[in-house]
Amino acid sequence: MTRYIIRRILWTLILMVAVSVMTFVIFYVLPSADPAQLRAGRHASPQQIEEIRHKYHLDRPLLDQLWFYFQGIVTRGDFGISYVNDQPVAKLVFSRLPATISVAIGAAVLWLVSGIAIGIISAVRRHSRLDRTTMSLALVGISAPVYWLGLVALYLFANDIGLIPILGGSGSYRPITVDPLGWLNSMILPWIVLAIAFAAFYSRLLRGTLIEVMGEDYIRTARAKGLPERTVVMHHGVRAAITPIVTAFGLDLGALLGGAVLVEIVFNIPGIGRLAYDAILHSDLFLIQGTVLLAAFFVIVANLVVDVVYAYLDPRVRYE
Amino acid sequence: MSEPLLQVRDLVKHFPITRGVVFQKQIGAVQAVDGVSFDLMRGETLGLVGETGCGKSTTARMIARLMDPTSGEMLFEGQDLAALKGRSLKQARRDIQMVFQDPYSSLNPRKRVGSIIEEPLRIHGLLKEGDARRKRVQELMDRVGLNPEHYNRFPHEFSGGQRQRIGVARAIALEPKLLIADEPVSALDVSIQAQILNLLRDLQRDMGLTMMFIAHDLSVVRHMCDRVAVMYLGKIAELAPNEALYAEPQHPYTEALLAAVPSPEPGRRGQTSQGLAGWFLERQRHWPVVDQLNIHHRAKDSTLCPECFAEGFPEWLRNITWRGRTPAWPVALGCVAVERELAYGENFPLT
Amino acid sequence: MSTPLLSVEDLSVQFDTEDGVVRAVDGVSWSIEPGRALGIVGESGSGKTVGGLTLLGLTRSNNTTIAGRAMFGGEDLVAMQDEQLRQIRGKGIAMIFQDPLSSLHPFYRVGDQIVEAIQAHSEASDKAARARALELLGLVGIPDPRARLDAYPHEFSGGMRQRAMIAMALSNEPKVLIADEPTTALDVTVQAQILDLLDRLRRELGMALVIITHDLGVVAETADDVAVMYAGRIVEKAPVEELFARPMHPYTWGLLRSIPRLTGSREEPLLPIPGRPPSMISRPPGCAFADRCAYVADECRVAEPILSPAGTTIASACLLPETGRRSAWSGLAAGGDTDAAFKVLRGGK
Repeated sequence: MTRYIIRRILWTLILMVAVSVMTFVIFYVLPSADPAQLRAGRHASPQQIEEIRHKYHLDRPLLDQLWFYFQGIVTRGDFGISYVNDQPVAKLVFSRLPATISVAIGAAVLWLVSGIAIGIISAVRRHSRLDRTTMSLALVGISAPVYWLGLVALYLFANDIGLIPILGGSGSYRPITVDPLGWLNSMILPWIVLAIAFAAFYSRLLRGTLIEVMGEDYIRTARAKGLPERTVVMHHGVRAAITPIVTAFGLDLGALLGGAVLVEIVFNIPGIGRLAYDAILHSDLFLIQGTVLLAAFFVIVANLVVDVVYAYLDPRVRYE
Repeated sequence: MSEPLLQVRDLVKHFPITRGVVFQKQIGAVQAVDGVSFDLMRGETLGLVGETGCGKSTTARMIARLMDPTSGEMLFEGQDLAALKGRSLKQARRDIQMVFQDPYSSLNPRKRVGSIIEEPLRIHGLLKEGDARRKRVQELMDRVGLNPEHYNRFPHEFSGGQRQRIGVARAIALEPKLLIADEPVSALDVSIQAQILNLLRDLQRDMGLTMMFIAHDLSVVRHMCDRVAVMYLGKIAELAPNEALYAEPQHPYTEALLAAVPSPEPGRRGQTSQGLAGWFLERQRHWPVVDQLNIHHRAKDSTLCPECFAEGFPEWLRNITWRGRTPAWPVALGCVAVERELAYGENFPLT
Repeated sequence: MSTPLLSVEDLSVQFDTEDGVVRAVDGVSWSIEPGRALGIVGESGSGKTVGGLTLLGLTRSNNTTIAGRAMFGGEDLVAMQDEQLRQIRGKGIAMIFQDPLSSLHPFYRVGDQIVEAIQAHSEASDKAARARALELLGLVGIPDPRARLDAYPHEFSGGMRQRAMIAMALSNEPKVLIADEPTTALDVTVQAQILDLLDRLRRELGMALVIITHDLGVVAETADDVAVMYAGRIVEKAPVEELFARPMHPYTWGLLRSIPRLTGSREEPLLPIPGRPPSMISRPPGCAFADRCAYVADECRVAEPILSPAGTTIASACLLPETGRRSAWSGLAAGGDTDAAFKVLRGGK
C-alpha cells in the first residue's frame, strides 16, 4: 500500500512538471505575437514592453526562460504580475480562492448526499413511480445548462429581482470571515444550482452501477447468509458500487476548485473562475497562465487523491 | 510409424514479473512453459492434459503463433515456426488452425455466420469472391452438421453446441494440416459435448488431420487421443500412448490426476479421490533420491511460511533452507524437476 | 428411515419475462433426511439451480410466481414471510455456489465475511465470532488459518476460496447445505479434495447435503440418492447405485452413454443425445424429452408422463412400458446399440 502511494505521488510530481512545461510552451513559445507585448497588456508603450522583455528574461534563449520560469514558481511562488490589476498573480489568485472553495465544497456536499441517496433509492425500488419520477427529473437536471438554471434561480428567489425574494442574489457574496450569515445567504442559490446538475448525474451513475452490482454473485451470497436486506444493500451493494462515484467526485471537485466559471459569472462571485474569465477578456497573459496552472494543479491532486482512495476501497488495486 | 509433422524442442515461455516505483525492472519470471519437447506425428491426435496454469494452453498458443516463445524450436515440416515472418508465416498459419474453448466469445457477434466461416478464405485470397466462396461455406456448414440455409444468421441465434460447430467450420475452411483444439467442449453441456467430440473425431479421420487436443478432462482426452502428454507446472511429466498412460501411469502426478477424476460408477467413493498433499505423503517412499525442485514465492505472502510447509510435509521437505526474503529452495521430486513461481498457493495445492 | 428434514412438494417457479412466461421449475418434489446426500443432476436450463435458490427465497421478486410447498421444521418455506425466511437462510439451510471467486465479496477480508455470517444469526461478540471463524477455517482444512483470516479473496487459490465459502456456510451449523456446482470451476485434484471435505463434514456434522451438478461422476461419488432433472422436471429419482445400474428413463440412458469414460473401450463412438432441450417458454404438450428420444411413441407427444415407481426404489417419468424399458437398458448396458434397444422396447407395439 505504502509502495503504491509513493509511486502515485512520484507520478503526480512528474505530471505537474509536465503540465508546467506544457503551459510554458503555450504561453512562451507558441504565441505568434511578441510575448513581451502580450504580457504588457493592450496599451503599453514601447518602453514598457522593453522593460518587461528584460525583466522576464524574454530576451534570453528559450531554455534560460524555462529555467527562470521554474525558478520563479518553485522558489518564490512567482507567477508573474497582472498588468491589468498591477498585482502579483499569486496574490490575486489566493485572494479569490476562498470564494471558489466556498462554492465548490458547499455544492459538493449537497450533490454528494442527495445524489447518493436518490441513486440508492432508485436502484432498490427500480421501476417504481418514485424511481421513474426522480430519474426523469435527473435527466432534466443533466440536460439543463448551469447558467440557465442559475438565471432561473435568480429570477425566482433572488432578493433583488426574484418573484419570491428570499435569498441572496447576484453579487451578494460576503467573505465568511467578515459576515458568516451573509456568506451563507449568498451561497445557497449557487450551491443548489451547481448541485442540481451534478446530483442528477451522480444519482443516475450510482443507480446504474448499483443495479448491476445487485446482480453479482456475492450479493446472492450475502442474502444466502441471511443478512437483512438493508445490510445487503448498504454494506455489500453500495460499498462495491461507490467506486465510480469516488472517481467522478474527485475529478469534478478538482475541476471546480480550479474555477466554477459559469456559476461565478452568473452569481457574480469573485472566485477563480471569474478571475480567469476577466483575465481572458483583458488578455492578461500572466493571470491566465496562473489560473491555468492552478486548475491543472487541482485536477492532478484530485487524481492522486482518487487513486489513493480507490486503493483503500478496493483491495485488489493495491497489488499492481 | 509415420514421420513427424511438428517437432517441438525445449519450448520455453516466461512471463516477466516486474516491480518498481517509477521504472519497472524485472524481478523474476513465471515459467509458464519450461522446456517442453515432443513430436507430433502426421495423422495422430496428441492430447495435452493438466490443471489450470500447467502451461498447456500457452504451449498451444505458441504453436499457433498467437504468442511468441521465449526460446526453443517448433519445427513444422522442417521449418521453425518461431522464426517465420511475413509471407511464410501467413502460409504456416493457413496450415495450423485453432478451435477455442468458449463458443460465445470467440465468434464476432456482429457478423453473419457465413461471413465468419468465409473469413479465412477471404484473408488468404482463396476461391473467387461470390458464389464459389458461398458454395464452399455452405459445404463446410453441412460438413459440421449445420443447416446451410442458416448462412445469413448471427451467432446469437445458435445454441452453444452449434456455435462450436461454427468455430470448427471456420477452422477447417482452409483444410489445415494441423488442428489445435483448446478445451473445445468444456463450456458445453454433457449431452452436447459428445456431439462435438464425435464431429472432431470424424473430421480427423475423413480429412486426415493431425490434431492437438487440449483439455483438463482426462476421460475426454482418453476418448479422443492416440498419445497423451500430461503437463505439470510448465513441463511434460509424462508422454505415453493412450492405453499405456491410463492403464499404467508411470509418473506419480499422472496417477494422482487419474485417481482424482470422479467416476460415474458409484461405490468407488472414498477409495480413489485424494489431493496432491495426499499424493505427496503417500508417494514419497516410492520416490528415488530427490534432487531438484525450486519453489519461489512472493516475499509478501506470509501464509506460505516454512512452518506451515513443515506441518503437512515430509521430513526432507522440512530441511529446506530459506534464503533471504524470496526463498528458493532446491528440493527434489524424482523424475521431474519442478520450477515454478508460487503465487498464493495457486499452482501448488497444499491440502 | 427417519423423517425428512426438508421436503419439497410440487414446487414450481415461473419467471415473467419479455418473451413470455419461463417455467423454470415445474412441479418438483423431493425430500432429504439428516446426514443424507441428495444429488440433483441436470444440464444448463434444467431448473436445478433455480430450485435450490427458491428454497432460500432468493428468486422471490415481482416477476416470479412460486407455487408448491417446501416443508422445513414444520413450516412452509414457500409461504413464509421474508423476514422469517431470512432467519432460516444460513442458519437452517445454507448454500454454496459454483464460482467461489465471484461469490465472495472482493472488498472484504475473508475472516470478516465469515464473522458477518455468524453475527447475522447470533449476538456473538466480535471477538467470539472471530474465534469461531478461525475454528471454521481450520475445520475446512485451510492451512495457517490465523493468517488467512485477514486475507482477501483474491489472495486465495480457487480451492481455498471454495473452502472459505464452505466455512462461511457452516458458521451457523445449518441442518441442510445446498451445494450448487461446488467443484465445476475447480481443477480435478482440487475437486477431489472439496468433495472429500463435503463428504467428511456431512458425516461429522450430520448435515443433509443437496448437491446440484451436471457431472454424473460427482453425483456417483457423493450422493446417496439422485434426482435427474430435465426441462424443469424430475424425470428420474433413485438411490445412486440403482440409478447407475438400472436407469429407467431414456434421458438418463442418453446421459450415461454420452460421457467418455476412463475405462472400457475407446473405439466405440460416444452416443450423443441428438437435438437440444426444448424452450421453457412455449412447451409442446406431452413428454418434454419426446423430440430427442430415440424410443418415442405416439402417446409421448400427447400425455405428460408423471414420476411414478418403476421398481422398488426407482421412480421414473416415462410413458413407455416398464418391462420393455428394463430389458432395453439391459441390452444397452451389455453393449447393444440403440436399434436393438428400440426393437426390444417398441417392437411389441
